[in-house]
Amino acid sequence: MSDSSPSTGSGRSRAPPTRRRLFEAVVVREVRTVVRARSLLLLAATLTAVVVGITWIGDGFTAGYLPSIVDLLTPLELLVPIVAIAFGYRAILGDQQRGELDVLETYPVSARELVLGVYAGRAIGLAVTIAVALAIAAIAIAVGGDDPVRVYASHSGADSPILFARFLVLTVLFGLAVLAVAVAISAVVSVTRSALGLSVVALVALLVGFDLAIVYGLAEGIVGDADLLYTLAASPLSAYRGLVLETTVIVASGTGPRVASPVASLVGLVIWTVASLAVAVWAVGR
Amino acid sequence: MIERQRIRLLVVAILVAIAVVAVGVFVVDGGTADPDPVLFDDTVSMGLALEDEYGLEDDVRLPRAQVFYSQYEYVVGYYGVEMFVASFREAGHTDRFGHPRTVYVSDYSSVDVELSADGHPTADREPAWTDAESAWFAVGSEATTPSGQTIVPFADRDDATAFVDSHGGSVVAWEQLLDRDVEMDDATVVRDRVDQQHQNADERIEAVSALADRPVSTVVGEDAATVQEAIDSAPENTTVLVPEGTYNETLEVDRSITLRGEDDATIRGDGNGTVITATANRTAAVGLAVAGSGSQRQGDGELPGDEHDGEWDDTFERNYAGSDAAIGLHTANESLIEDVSVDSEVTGVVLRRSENSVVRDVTVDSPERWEDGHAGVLAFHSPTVVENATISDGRDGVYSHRSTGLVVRNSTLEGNRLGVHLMHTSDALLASNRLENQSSTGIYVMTGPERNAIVDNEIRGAEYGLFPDGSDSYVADNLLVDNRVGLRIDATGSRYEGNVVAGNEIGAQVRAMLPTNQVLENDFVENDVHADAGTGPLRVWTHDGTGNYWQGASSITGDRTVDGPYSPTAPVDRQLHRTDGAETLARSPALDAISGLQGTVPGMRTGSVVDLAPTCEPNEPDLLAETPWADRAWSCERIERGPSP
Repeated sequence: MSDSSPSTGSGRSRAPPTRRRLFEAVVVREVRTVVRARSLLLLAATLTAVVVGITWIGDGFTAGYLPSIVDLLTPLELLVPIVAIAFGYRAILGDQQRGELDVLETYPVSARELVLGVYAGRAIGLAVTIAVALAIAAIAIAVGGDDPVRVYASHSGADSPILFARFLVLTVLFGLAVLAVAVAISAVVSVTRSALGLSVVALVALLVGFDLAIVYGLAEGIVGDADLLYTLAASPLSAYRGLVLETTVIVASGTGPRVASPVASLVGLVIWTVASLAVAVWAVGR
Repeated sequence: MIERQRIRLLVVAILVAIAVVAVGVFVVDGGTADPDPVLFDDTVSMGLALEDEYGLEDDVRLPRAQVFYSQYEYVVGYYGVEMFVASFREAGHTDRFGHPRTVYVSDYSSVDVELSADGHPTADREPAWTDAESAWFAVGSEATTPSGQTIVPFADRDDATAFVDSHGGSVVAWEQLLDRDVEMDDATVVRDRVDQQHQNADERIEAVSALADRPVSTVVGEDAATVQEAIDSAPENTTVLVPEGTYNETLEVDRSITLRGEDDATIRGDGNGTVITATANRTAAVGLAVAGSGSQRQGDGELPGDEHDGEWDDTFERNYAGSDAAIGLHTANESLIEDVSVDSEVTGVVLRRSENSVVRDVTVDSPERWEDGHAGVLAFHSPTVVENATISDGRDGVYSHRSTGLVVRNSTLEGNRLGVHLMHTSDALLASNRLENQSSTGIYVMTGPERNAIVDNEIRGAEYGLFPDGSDSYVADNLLVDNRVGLRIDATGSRYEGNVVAGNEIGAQVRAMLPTNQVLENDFVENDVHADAGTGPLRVWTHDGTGNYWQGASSITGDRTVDGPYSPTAPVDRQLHRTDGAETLARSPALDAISGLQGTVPGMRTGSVVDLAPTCEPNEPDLLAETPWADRAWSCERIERGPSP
C-alpha cells in the first residue's frame, strides 16, 4: 500500500478512487453481503446451537473448559469446514454471475486486490460467527460450573479460560484456511452447480480424504515414523487437531509422545490459505 | 477524509489488538501461579487407616504430602511421602489425575523432630509445608508410620544430613526420590495371598481342633451334680461331658477345659447376663445348644478376663463386647466353639481379645426383630476364623471390631440387618459366604481399613449387596443378585474383579472420590442401571486394556472386544440393554463424534463411568449360570449366531 499518495488528504473527492479505497470498498461490500445473507445468519445460529448443545450434552458446563474443548474438537473438525465452505463457495462466482465482476474490472482493481478483498470480507463474517459461538459456550462454562464438594479443598488444576481462548483462535484460523479453499473454488468455477459439486468434492477430500491418505501412507511405509508429525500438517484437519491437542489438552495430561509439531501445523494451515488464494487470483485474472 | 483516516486507524488498531490477544493466549502460561498449601484435613487423603490414626500418640507428626494435580479438582493428601511416590509410579496414575503441578511435603526443618519408641516422628507442633521440588529427603532411616518405613522431608539439607547421621539412611533430592522403587502392599498383593490366608485359617483350625478330643475327666450327673461343679472340679486339658438334657445354669469357665455336650444337651441361662463365660486360653465348647441369655445389648461395667491397657476404643469395648450373649470368650486365645446352636436373645457368641480362636458349625437364631438383636458372632480385638456358621434374623450377622486378619468363610447369613459388618478390621478374608435377604447390607466394611479380601461370596436381596470401604482391598468373584445396589464402590486403591452383578436396581454405585480403583472383568447383566457415579472425576473401568462385560454394549461387527467405549452413565449407553432402538441411536456419527475422546482428561469430568474396552462375552459364565439371566447375556457376536431363541 505504498502508493497511497499524499493528495488523498486534500479533501477533494473528484480524484479517482485509490486502490486502497477500492480494496476497502470490496471488503465493506462483502461484509454487507454476509450480514444481509439470511442463510448465513441461520448457519451462524445453527453453529452456535450445536456448539452450546455439545457443551451441554458432554457435561462441559460442569466439567470445565478443557473437557469442553475435548468434546468440541471432533464435531468442529467436521462442522467448521462445512460452515467455511458455505461462507465462501459463491463469493466470487456470485459477483461473476451478477455481472459485478465485469463492473469491478472497469475499476483499477487488480485480481489480487479483488480476491483479497472478498476473502477479507468473508473472513470477518466467518471469524465472528465462529468466535461468537465459542464465546457463548465459554460464558456458559464460566457461569455453569457446579460447585465442588465443599468439605474438600479444591483448585482449578490446569483448566483455564486461556486454554479455551487458544482453542477459539485455532478454530478461527482453521476456518479461515478452509474459507480460502472455498474462495478458490468459487473463482475457478463458472456456474453454481459446479461450484456446489466442487465444494462437496473439496469437503470430502478435507474431511476424510487427506487423513485417510496419511493413514495409507503410514500403513504402506511411504510416510516414515519420523515424518508423521510433519505429514500431519499437510491435512488441514490434522493440522488443526494437532495444534489444539498440543496447545490445550497436553497442558493437562502431561507426558507422552508428541502429538503435533505446532510450527509445521501452523505453516501447513498458512500454506493452504495462501495457495488457495493464489489459485483464486490466478483464476480471476484469467 | 479525516473521518475515513480515523476509521482506518480504528480498524487497524482493532486488528492489531485482536492479533496481539490471539498470539498472547499462546504465550502466557495457561496455568495459574502455584497454589498455597491447604489444611491437610481438607484434602482427599489416603495412606492411613482410621484405626491407625486413632491409635497415634498426640505428639506424633507423620510425614505427609499434599498434591495439586493438573486434572483433579481436589487436593490429594498422602500420609507418607512414599505413599505418593508409590502411587505416582503406578501405571495409569497420571492418566487419571494428570501430572502433579505442585507438591508440598511436611518440613521437619521447621520443628525439632525426634522419633518415638515406635519410630514415629514426633514434634511439639505440626511441621510447616515446603515445596517438594526444593526439599531434601531422608530415606531408609529408622523413621516409620503405622504402615512401615517412611521418608522424612526437610527444607534444609543440613537438617536432613543431621537426621540421617543420628537415625540412619541417606539424603536424596526430589528427582531421585521419584525414581525410587517403593514397595507398597496394594490390592494385587491381597489377591495373591488369598490362598495363603485360606491355608493359614486351615492351620488355625488344625491347631485348636485337638481341643474337641481331650480325654473326658468329668461327666455331669455322674462325677458332679451340676455343670458348673463339673467345670470347677475337672483337671485342665480334659473334657467335661454334658449328657443329653437341659441344664438351667449360668456357667463360668476360667480354666483350660473342653465342655462337650451329648446329643441335644442344652444349657439354659436365667435370662440375665451371658450364659457361658470363658476367660482361659484354649477353652472349647462343643456340641451344645445354648439359650436364655440376658437381653442387654450394650454393657457398661467391668468386662471379664484379664486387664489390658487403656486404648482409644475402651468405651466401644465395654459397650459392644459387654453385650449379653449365649457364649462369651474374653481374653481366651486359641479357643474353639464348634457344633453349637444358639437361641439368641441378643448376641450369639462374643469373642473379645481372644486371638486365633475358631467358631465353626455354629447356628445362631437371633430375635425376630432386628432391633432386639446385636450380633450373631461378635469379634472384638479377636482375629478369629468363623466358618460354616448359620446366622439369621440378627442386627449384624458377624460384627468385627479391630480384628485384623479375621476370616469368615462358608457361612450362611439370612435376614439380618447387616450380614457381615467390619469396623477397623484390616487384612480380613471374607470368602464363599452366602448372604440372603439382609434388610440393609450384605457385607459392610466401614472405617477405612486396608487390604481386605472379599471373594466368592453370594449376596442376594439386600439394600446394598457389597459395600466395602477403605483401601487396597480385593473384591472378586462375588455374585451380587437382586439387591437394590449390587456393588457399592467406596473403597479406593482396590481391585474389583470377576464379580457377577445381575438383576439389581443399580449394578454398581461408585462414590469413591479418588479414581484409583481397578475395575475389570466383572459382568453386568440385567440391572435396571448397570452403574451410577457420584461426584468425582470420570472413573475409567478398564485396567491394562481389559474392561468389563456390559449386557447391551454389544457390537454388530463381532470381535473379541466391543468396538467402542461404553459408558453406563451416558444417556444412550445406559439404555442399551433394555430399550429397543437404543443400539441404533448409539451408532449415530453425532454421538460417535462426541464420545470419541471421552476418555481424555478424565480427571476433569464428573459423575460418570466409562469402560474403554468392554468385553464381548461374560467373563464369569459359570457364576452367571447361577442366575436366571445367563441367556440374556448376549455376546457381541449374536448377529452371526442368529437371534437367540
